[in-house]
Parts: sequence; structure tokens; C-alpha cells
Amino acid sequence: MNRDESPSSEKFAVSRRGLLAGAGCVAAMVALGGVGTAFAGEDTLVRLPGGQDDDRFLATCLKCDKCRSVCPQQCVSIAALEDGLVNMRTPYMDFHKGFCDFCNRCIEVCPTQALLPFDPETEKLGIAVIDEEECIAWKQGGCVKCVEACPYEAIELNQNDRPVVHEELCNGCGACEYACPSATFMSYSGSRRRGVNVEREA
Amino acid sequence: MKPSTLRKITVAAVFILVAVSLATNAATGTLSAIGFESIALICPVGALEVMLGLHQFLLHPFILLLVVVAALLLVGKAFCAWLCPTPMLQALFRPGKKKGKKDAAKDAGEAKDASEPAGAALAVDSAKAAVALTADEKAVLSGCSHSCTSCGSLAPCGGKRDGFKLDTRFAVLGGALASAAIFGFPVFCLICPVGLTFATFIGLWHLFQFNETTWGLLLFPALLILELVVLRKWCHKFCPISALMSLVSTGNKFLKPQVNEEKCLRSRGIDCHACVDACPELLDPHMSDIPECSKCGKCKEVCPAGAITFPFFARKKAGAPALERDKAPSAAPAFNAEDLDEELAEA
Repeated sequence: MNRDESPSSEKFAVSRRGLLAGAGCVAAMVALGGVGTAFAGEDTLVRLPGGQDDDRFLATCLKCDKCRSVCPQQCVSIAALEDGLVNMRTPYMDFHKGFCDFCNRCIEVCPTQALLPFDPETEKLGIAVIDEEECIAWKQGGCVKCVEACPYEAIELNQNDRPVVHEELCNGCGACEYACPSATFMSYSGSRRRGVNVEREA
Repeated sequence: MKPSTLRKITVAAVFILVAVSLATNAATGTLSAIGFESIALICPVGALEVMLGLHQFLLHPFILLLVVVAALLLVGKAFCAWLCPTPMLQALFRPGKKKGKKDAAKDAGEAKDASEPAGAALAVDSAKAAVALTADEKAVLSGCSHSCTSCGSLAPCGGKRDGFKLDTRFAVLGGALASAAIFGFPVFCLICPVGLTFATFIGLWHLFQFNETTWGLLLFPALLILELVVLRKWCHKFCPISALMSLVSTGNKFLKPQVNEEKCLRSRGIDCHACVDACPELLDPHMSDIPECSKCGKCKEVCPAGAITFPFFARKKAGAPALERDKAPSAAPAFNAEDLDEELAEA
């Protein structure tokens, strides 16, 4: 075929077979989106500062691993396949490894604006919830680790010396969960949960 | 150093950067967005998926996207050969084919060594080593000892993927972007072989550092093998990143392969197509319109006459267009008035 005669038509010429293959590829991509949505996973992961709007965060995160790497407190983990297809490979706060001091480094390095500017005075990552089944103070008494660890005085001992959370003061930084020794002292129970856990706001 | 060795080093360097990011707080990232601080080479498909998924324009990814466009105009699709781990993973999964290619390159390399002296007889010998000659070609050679267009110089044979072609890659790209817009998350990232490679790498790292086990460590490599071994022509047929880069690299003017027609064996009537055979993108470096060129340097490596260079900026394809028009109008690219003017000026 002489290209001089029909340069543009040849450039964009698509055979019937090519058209069918193309339609197949488009359909496969849309189907993949559907499968991803069907097995998206539950929205229980505590997100990084500025990533609290889950729809926005999941739309914009490219899984580049920068926020996990940059975190000076090492408190960012990467979600696994078990967390769902859309959640998988996205970062979440793992307060077993550290707690958030709101240094904003993750927000600064994010290349896709998946993390918005965050104000720890008015916004919350989540809220600490005492698990009375796991908490040493609730089961046996004597432990005050989370009360000591909280930088916001959001955990107090009640009249029975059991820790309780003041939700309005807690911003979910995770210092209490990081400090909680229940999984160590009661490792015989085999539980991964600690006596106090930061959970997403309902 | 051979380009193929250099390429292995640059791909390895990407893995080292990712490892640095894993071991320290450097936050160099993966190929989804690799760089320092908030400056990064972002995945162009990812950046578009993000904005379509959010139904919103975002300035930061848009600026990074412009940086990628500038890089594509400057170095074309060099990403495919120099940074993307996919081609090397494919070679890893199919060692048989890799070995065959190596041998061919080695043979051509020996032929190249032999052709260094300018003597016509030696050049003919080297040509014999590189390609089998037909009786007709031998007859031509015996009568002609130097390059001249009057005694049967051959037109470029052309590559399968010369020029810009709309193929199934663009359907995957369109489908991926549409799917991201419908479902509101970067859909292609789920199966992107580049992403899966680094997900596996990071998964293995976490396995050894934190003892974290996940089914992903089995699923990611399985998907990778499916894409790279079962769908063998992933890069040419399916990769939407390649498609998007091709759209931009049609405007790339730099570091394009340049064939010295005086040296090229085809100008002596020898039907050598070592460069076309070696090209992983199925291109002919004699052609000027090859947006798929990944600047891998394979053609330069195998050319028995040492006729191929990658100059930063070549003003035009010297010689080739004239030959094409004279000898084989069927293979000629679109008529270019500028080229003709320059040739007239030279004459």
C-alpha cells in the first residue's frame, strides 16, 4: 500500500478483527473495575492524615509507597490482598509500629494529592476505643500505660481505676495503642488486638 | 559498555531506589511515582486515572504529568527499555528465547569486528557472516566494491510496527480510563505488571522484615506470570502505558536511531536486516517515523557495519528518504517537502 496516497487513513485503519479485539479489551477493563468494586473490602482501615474521605482517598492513591517510606514514626503499613481488592496495596495507620505526631511528611510527599492538609486540632484520624476484653486494667487492674501515653489527656481513669476515652479530646494519634502492653503481657490469648485500639469514626 | 548491559544497570538502579525507600525514610517511591519529595516521575496512566476517578482536576498530578510529557518529547519511549522491569522479567521467564537472541547478537558482533577495515572484500565476508547471500546478491557484490546507488542498493525493508498505529493497546487504555471514571479508583493499577512487580518486591521485603505473610505474595506473581508469559506480547498488544506514551512520542525528535547510509550494507546491495530482526519493538531504524522506538540500542549493537548511531539531534534522515523514493516508492514514507528542499540545497 502506498502511504503517500493515504497516510492518515492507513494510520488509523482498524480491521474488523482489531475492532473486536479492542472491544474485548475495553470490556475486560470495565469488568475488572466491576470485580474490584465487588471485592473492594470493608472500610475499616484507619487512613493517614488527610485521607479520611475514603472515596477520595481510594480514587487518588497510586500505591507509590512514598508515604509509608517517609513516615519518621514508621506507623504506616500497606494493606494486603485480604483487606480487599481496592484496599490492597493502599497505606493505613498501623499503631503497633508507631504513632502519629502529625509531622505532615506523608502529605508533603504524596504525588497525587490523595492526602489533604490536616489539622490535628479539629480533625481526627479515628478514635481510641478501649477493648474491655483485652485491657489489662479492665481485666486485672493496675495498668496506666495508655493514660500516661496520651499527649491530649484524652484517656482518664474512672473511679474504679479503669481507663476511659474522652472522644472529644481524642484525635486518633495512636499513642495509647502503641503504648498498650496487653498483647505482650497477655500473649497467651493469641489476640492481635490490644487493650485500646484506634478505630475509624462511624 | 554495551547498551544491553547499561539497560540492565538502569533497571537494577530502579530496584535499588525502591530498596532505599524501603530501608530508609528517603521516600523515593516505586515506578508509580519515583523521585524525591513531591517531585516525581509519575505514571501517566495513573495520573489520568486519578483525575478521572475523582472527577476533578488536580494541580499537582497535572504538573507531574507535564513533566512526563516533556520527558517523552525529549527521550521518546526510553522508559520501556531503560526503566520498565517488564521486558527483563519476560526474558527471565523465557530464558530459551533470550539465549537465542544473545547468540544472534554475538554472531553479529563478531561480524562487526571483522568489518572494521574498509576493504570491500572484508566487508563482503562480514556480510556473509551476518546474512546468507543469494546468488543474485553475490553477483551484484562481485561487480561492485563500494557504495553507489547505481548498482542495486536496497530500500529499507521496514518494520512491522513502523509509524503510529491504533492497536489494541489503545483499547486497553481507553477501557482503563473509562473504568476508572465509572468505578472511582485506578482500575488498571490492579493488574499493572509494573505495579505488581514492585508489590511483589515490597511484599517479599515485608515478609523478611516483619514476617508478614499475605495471599498477595502468591497472587501478584501469578498475575505477572499470566500477563508476561501467557499473554506473551503484553508490551506490544496490551500495555496502556505504552499506548499513552506512543501518543506523545510521535512528537519526539531527539536520540532517534540514525543510519549512515554510506556504511549500511543495504547500500551495497546486500539484503542485511540485522537491525530490523534485532529490534524488540519490530521497527526499522532506517525509517524516520518510529514513535515506538524505546532507544534500547539493540540495532546499534547488532549492525555488522557499525552504521547506526543515536545522535542527540539529527537534522534529517540523511540518504534514506532519497533511496526510498528512487528505488521503492511502495516503502516510501509520507512525502516531505522540507527533506526535498534540503536535498536540493545540498546538490
